[in-house]
Amino acid sequence: MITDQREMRSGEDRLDPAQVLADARRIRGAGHWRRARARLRESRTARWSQRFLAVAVLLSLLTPLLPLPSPTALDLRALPRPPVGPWVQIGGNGFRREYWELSAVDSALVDVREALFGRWQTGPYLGTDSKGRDLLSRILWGSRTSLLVALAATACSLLIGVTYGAFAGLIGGRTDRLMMRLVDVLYSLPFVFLVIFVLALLDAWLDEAGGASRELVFYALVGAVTWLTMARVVRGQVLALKNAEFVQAARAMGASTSHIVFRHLVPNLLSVVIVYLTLTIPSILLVEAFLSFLGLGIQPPRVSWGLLAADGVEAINPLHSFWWIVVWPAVAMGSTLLALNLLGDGVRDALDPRGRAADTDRPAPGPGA
Amino acid sequence: MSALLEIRDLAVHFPRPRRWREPPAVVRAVDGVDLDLRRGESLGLVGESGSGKSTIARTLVGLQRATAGSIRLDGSELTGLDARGWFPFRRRVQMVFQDPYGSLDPRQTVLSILTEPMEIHALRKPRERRLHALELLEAVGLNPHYANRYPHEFSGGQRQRIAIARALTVHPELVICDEPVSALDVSVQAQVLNLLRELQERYDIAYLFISHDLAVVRSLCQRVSVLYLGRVVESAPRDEIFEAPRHPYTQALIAAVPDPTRAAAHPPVLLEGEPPSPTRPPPGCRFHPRCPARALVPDDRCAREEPPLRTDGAARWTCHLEPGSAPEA
Repeated sequence: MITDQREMRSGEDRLDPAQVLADARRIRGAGHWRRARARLRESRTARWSQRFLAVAVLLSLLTPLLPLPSPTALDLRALPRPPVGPWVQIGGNGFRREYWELSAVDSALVDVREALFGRWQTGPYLGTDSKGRDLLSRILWGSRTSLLVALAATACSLLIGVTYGAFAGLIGGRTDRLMMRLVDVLYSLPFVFLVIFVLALLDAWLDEAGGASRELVFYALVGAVTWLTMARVVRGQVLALKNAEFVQAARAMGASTSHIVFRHLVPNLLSVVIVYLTLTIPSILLVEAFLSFLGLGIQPPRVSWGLLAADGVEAINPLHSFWWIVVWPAVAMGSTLLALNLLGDGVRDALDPRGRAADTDRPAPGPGA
Repeated sequence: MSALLEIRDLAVHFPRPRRWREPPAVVRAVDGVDLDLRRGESLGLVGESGSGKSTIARTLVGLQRATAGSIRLDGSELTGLDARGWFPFRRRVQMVFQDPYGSLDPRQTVLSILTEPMEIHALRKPRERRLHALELLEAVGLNPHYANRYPHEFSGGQRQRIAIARALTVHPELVICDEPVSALDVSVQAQVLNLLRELQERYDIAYLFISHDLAVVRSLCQRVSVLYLGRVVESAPRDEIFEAPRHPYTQALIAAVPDPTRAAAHPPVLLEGEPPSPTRPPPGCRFHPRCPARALVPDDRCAREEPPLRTDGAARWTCHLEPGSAPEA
């Protein structure tokens, strides 16, 4: 049949297909992701949030390398020290290597920090807390906890939530109903009670195993709640996509289920998953802070923003106003959450198919019809 | 010319979702359909909504299991085959869907939409797949330079051309077109129909062309089958269907097409009522509750007996009414 076509067209001035293929490579269409990126770049709030978060994440990753005082080095001699600008006191020698049990990577990073800066450390730019610990250092080390929680939640959402939801949606029928009922049941459990319950149950066993595993349980619990909504969202999308005409078309062509999953479902699901993830992370940070504030999450001497808030509340007293102990952690957390939410909104606007409806019907200029 | 597609007594029933205190029921979407299609021919399948047109299409491409009956493609029986057994036939039967906005994956470039069927059927090497895709783009009248664009960058008519090109990439012998132009503007409809006709000549494809638009069917198809409530009531060559319809339902259908040249003295036959539910089709002739010719048949046989199959040349229809005694339509 191809040869027929060649013969039929040999008289006309035919385009050389190989040449066309090479040329066509230069005429790239504006794909979904390209348009989303362009829209995201147009949004000023999203752009600034991105910058802010990039700096925050970078600082948080580099914290052990920075010449900060140790976040747990106590100085019980005096009252909390107010913030001192770097122009007043840039720093001095006095670094003591006092941390909780650091991970291998972190302690290697602190080794590097000691090699670089020796005992020199920065001054109390943001003041110190009631036990004389440097607030800036504590806030930065606390941000690492937040980052870890965000990572754990993301991983659980992606691994458990997406697989679970996609599986339920694909299989459908009774399996789907059963799986979703389980999600409903887990959904209905009040999260805080769940945490208290699990921690109480596991307490004895955890004491034997050592304190670190308590945090593991905490991360596991955070993960356990975040995947639920993701599973629901993904299942709904899969159900809709399964009946989409282009999936039916692929099925009629003889495509296998795995072909349909990887060629059609995953690319079409991806933006929903991303939107949902970016909007979940701030709420998960809040959950961590809330639990740590209540003493159910991260345990001292480790630091997290929730613990800092708890310290701040303790420091409120009618005689002395140690405002910095409350304000700085609140500013750090508030600005991070604001940036995350703004970025999440921006990402949603950029990726949401509803926002795309306006240019769906736009014909391309050129191709002759 | 040999028969490419032979459908005998095809039935597709759907179990109706169970309702409280009601007996279980089945929807008889297709209930005993016979169709024949020769190589390179186009057969129009017309009928009102709910008559089972799309169900037949979905059954032919293996999206729907047949409840009973036989589908033979080129002599091989398809019903009863499992997915693996059906696979080689999927290449030979391709489908063009109604909605060109829904049938193309919005995340794929045109090039990858067109190479996908070849990948699935392991035809050609990757580079040759792309070259073949470009050839087809040109064949359907699109600029192959735009192969790396996405479906949303094309108009409805252009998208339907892409869908047609996709169906042709694997050299099908039969292309099932499920209302391929009903989502398009009239001017674009004509272009797509011309394209379909041109491609049929070039590649020797048979079309099963499903439509409720009689004018479209008339311009493209050599033969027409009329469906009513899951049954074929009349099959005839195009000119006979349109000039001398034999079944009262076909007569009403043809007469319902607005025709500015028709004299006002000949008003169209108006059918009364809705088509009955396919869950409980009427006994006897399925058309009898709405049939204007029912009174002409003695003993109310229409309501009691299945109508006999009548033939006249290439035309076949099922009706109790004797051919001579038909009222003039």
